[in-house]
Amino acid sequence: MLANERIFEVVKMAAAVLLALILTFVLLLIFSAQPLESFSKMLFAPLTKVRYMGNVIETMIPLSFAGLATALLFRTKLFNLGTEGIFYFCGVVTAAVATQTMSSALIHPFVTILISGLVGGLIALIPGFFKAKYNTNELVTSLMMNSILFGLGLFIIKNFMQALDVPGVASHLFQATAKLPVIIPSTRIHFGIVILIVTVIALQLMLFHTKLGYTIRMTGLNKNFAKYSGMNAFWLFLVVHFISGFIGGVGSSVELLGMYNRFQWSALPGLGFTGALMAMLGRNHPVGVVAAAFAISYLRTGADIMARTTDVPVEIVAVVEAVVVLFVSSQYFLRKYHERALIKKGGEQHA
Amino acid sequence: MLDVLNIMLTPEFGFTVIRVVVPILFAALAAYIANSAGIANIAIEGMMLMAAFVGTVTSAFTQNAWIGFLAACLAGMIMAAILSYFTLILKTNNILGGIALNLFSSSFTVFLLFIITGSKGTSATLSARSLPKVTIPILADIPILGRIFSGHNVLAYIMFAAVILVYLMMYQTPLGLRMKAVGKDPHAAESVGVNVKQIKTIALLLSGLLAALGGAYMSMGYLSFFTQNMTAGRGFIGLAAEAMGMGNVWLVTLTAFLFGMFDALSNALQLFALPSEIIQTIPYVAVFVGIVAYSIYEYRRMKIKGE
Amino acid sequence: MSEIILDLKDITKIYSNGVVANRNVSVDFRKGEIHSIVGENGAGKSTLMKIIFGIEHASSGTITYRGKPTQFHNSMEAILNGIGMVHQHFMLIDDFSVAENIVLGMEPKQKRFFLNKKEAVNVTKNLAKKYNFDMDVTQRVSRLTVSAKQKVEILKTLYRDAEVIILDEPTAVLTPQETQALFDNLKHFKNMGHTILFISHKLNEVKAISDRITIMQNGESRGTFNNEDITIEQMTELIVGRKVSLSYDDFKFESDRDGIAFKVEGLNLTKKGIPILKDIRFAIREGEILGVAGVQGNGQSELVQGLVGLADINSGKWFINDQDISSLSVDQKRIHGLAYIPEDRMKEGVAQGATVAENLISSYYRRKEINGPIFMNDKAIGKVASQLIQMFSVRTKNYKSKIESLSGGNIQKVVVARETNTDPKVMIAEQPTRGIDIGSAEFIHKQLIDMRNRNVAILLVSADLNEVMEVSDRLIVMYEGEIVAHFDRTKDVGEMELGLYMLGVKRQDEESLKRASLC
Repeated sequence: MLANERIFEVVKMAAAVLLALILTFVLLLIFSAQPLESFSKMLFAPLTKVRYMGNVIETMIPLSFAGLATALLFRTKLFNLGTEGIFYFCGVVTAAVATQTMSSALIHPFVTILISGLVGGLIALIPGFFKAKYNTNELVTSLMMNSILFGLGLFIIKNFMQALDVPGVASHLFQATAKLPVIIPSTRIHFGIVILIVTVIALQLMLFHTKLGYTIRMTGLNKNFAKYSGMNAFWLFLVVHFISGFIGGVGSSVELLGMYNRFQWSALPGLGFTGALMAMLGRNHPVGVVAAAFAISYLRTGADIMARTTDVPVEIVAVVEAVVVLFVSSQYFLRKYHERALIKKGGEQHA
Repeated sequence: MLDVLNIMLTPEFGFTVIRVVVPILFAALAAYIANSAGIANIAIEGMMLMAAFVGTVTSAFTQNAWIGFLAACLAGMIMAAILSYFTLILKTNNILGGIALNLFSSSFTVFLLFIITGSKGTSATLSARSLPKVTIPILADIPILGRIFSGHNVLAYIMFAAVILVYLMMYQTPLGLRMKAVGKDPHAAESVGVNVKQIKTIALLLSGLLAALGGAYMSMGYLSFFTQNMTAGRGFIGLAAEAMGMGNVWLVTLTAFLFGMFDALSNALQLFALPSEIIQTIPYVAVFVGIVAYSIYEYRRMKIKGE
Repeated sequence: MSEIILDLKDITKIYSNGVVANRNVSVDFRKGEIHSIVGENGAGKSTLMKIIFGIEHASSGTITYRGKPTQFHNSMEAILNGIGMVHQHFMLIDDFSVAENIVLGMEPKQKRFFLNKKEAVNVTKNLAKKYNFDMDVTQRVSRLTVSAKQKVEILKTLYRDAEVIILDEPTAVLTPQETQALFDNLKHFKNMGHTILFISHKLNEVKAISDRITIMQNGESRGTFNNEDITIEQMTELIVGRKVSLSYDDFKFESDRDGIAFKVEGLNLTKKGIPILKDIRFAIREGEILGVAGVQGNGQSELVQGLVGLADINSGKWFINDQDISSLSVDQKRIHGLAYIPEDRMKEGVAQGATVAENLISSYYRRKEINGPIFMNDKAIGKVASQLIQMFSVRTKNYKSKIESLSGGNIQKVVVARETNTDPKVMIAEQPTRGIDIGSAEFIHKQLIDMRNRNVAILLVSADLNEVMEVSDRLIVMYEGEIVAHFDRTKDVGEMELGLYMLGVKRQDEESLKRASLC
């Protein structure tokens, strides 16, 4: 059974999750006065109420967008972590558009999301261009840009959009026309989920059924091969960066318009970085990314509920995330069993 | 403009440059050693953060700065050991593994911080110990030089020593030769019996140690407590400095100082009536511009000039 | 008869993927002999040597070394026990000096912790002198010629006091003259008491140098013979059971078209002030194979990389049917009819992780036949792939298999199939059969000739003299970035004469060289 590549991947994933949970439990035993209660809260609480499951989906939406944006870059072997800064800055852009008066509740969110996406795409082109043209280390440039975009965004909010009646960093209220409607009653699950589904389908088709997707995959697997075959890495890197930035911008906008009434991020939201984890867990596969985002959102929601009722902070999820990611991206983790199964299978065939 | 120049020409500015360059240079040296052995150590940021946390908290519990310091070093090396286990034994892509460790550090330190102090922001409520400042006897009395070079945290002097030690190790010892060999061509190194995994592990552990020194400085020298995500990208600035140093320790050091200067400048400009959000981006802009300029230079160098 | 130093008994090696590399191989090696192991690619010679050297471990069987049962766990143990190996692909660090390469791993020290660089230079200098190698040990390895690099490799084993020296296909990259010099050195080593294990598939060389010869076929030993007890013909029979010397004359049709399909004019390239290519000019007719002979590293790969657009060229023009393609992108060059079989199939030829089908379409993935208006046509791609798999008898489960699950020979067939399917006017083939089994190699040679018969112009670059001499119609020789000889008929050239040109000893006059451009 382990000989089958896909089944092996699933088993590997499950084993990694199991290991991570065991480690989490050990940590709870050390640090929590009520380890069992904390642990079961974290694992099962989201199932207890519709509202909690709603929370899982709400959390999943931005994580998925961030994950998709990053996965596309990682697929092309571009280690760019700029989604974080794009999320922040496009949030500011969203605030700028969403606070404007616009007559139609159909057009307003659409325009806001589109502008945010375009700005995200353009921002991503900056490290993208330098990578494509001069092979500038995109990891470093994108990380520096995160800090720069944060400073710039904060400056804009404080100086041009600050709501004076609210303490701390806060924009004016978004117009009601700009908000994304809630689509499932008794939760806060909003129209963003539809946009997410459309995005996933579009990416899935693009990646596996178009020429662009083919070049992305081949370039990611072997850059020399792609160049040799006549594919143009320069344009490809630009296109991939733009699409990634666009998805990031859309994700940021969707999150704000769906979940918030004003822009209030006084620090980087951390969504972009988590996106990198989603991409890794989802194996840079659009559907996989959403599945990973769902799983992590589930855990985060569980941990959130746990944090409210026990003495354990929500950050414990990071342990699970990091451990799972490390094991899942390990080529040799459990490989022995896989190989043994392969040899056994091979032996049977020969016999 | 002239005011800025005036500030930059004071001994205090020189003092500040050294004060802020310590974590950057340690990070750059950490990156340098790992890179020499062929590993891009993205996890330096996380190693620093973890060391910063463990160092100050341990010093608070033991009421001994040096025990805290040792604990910080250990923390950095444990992180390095984890990374080397995953990248060398389990064959995790080292960039992905590094990213995961960084995210782990930034959350896990907050987790522990909350458990220990009940706050997610800082450890200021703990009465932690800092590492001592050192006044260098004769140097301190020399007019300008004294004010620049004397009176720093002990780790600043360890930093200068580290640069020289790293140089000696890389260029004058068999270990250094083997590290470079492993970094340039692991198969060739292996063919003469050099144990590639062992050499890479040693390089990563040393890298973790150097990163930890930078981290310890953050919470036990630069500040005297831990704050959430206090390394603020210094590990990555170190990586950038290393990348621009073209495999030469002295150039790496120089680049780190250049970045340190911009960091100090950003501190100094806070005095002026300028928007602080923008001023704070100066070090990052400097690194961005620096790394882009460097890559353009490399690109031109590699590209053969026409007739 | 001298004592036996190394004795292998019933060595069997089965890899974890089930491939049997060696089956019950028994062979002994005597002190101070030159002992050749011959056999085709894939006959199990290299695996056997790796087992001796501790890189691979035998599944069963015993090894007795210096009278004691031994199994080295890694190469370090083998080295410490006096066994050295010169690998087929050099294991040298280009940025290090000769001395640094030689002492790496066993460095002379001073003051306990520090490297003694002076001592390193002295020791290696003396070592080179002792074994009649004339070289500057402070030089960077990247500056050395192929045969000098090989000498460094041999010195590395001698520095480690190797008593037994394994040489894996050492002559594959050498000219006949360099081979001769190597043989002189080997005989010198033998007289000094070293045991030489010489691996080769070139039977005349084996005959010239060996004391004893062991023949391998299909993972098994076909016996060990004293040199004087066996003829080349007998060896051939044992190795393959058929005639090994390949001749493709029967497959070649006389071409009746003589239009020039590919023309190269005045190519120049300088890197870091060193001239790499100097005024390269040649032309190829339709339906003709032009061979490029030369010792590796004399500008051949830069020439090819430049022609296909993967690397820069300082000046020069090249044309397909009088159309200037020199400044076009890789993609545009391909559209104009250029195809390319790269030297390193894993680095450039295929994308590991992708399927066989995906690897079969990369150089023409935008073609209408396999695309719909928006999406790629998976069905059509499958059909193309299946056809190519059949035509080139690629051994794979189906076109959805991952490319890396195929053997080297089959991967190379995928590359050749893809490039052939671009319907090229000009094909550049660089080392098209390196490191693959003889069956696949023969198949690929026939495909090239088949293309030639269909009027494609082919540039065949190879370090393997046999290959260029057997397959090409005309021949040029490159030395230090220049064309130094041109032969109208490959048939008329002797191997030794070619060697003189490859080494730069001889050079044709300008008039003769001009004929490379067919004017």
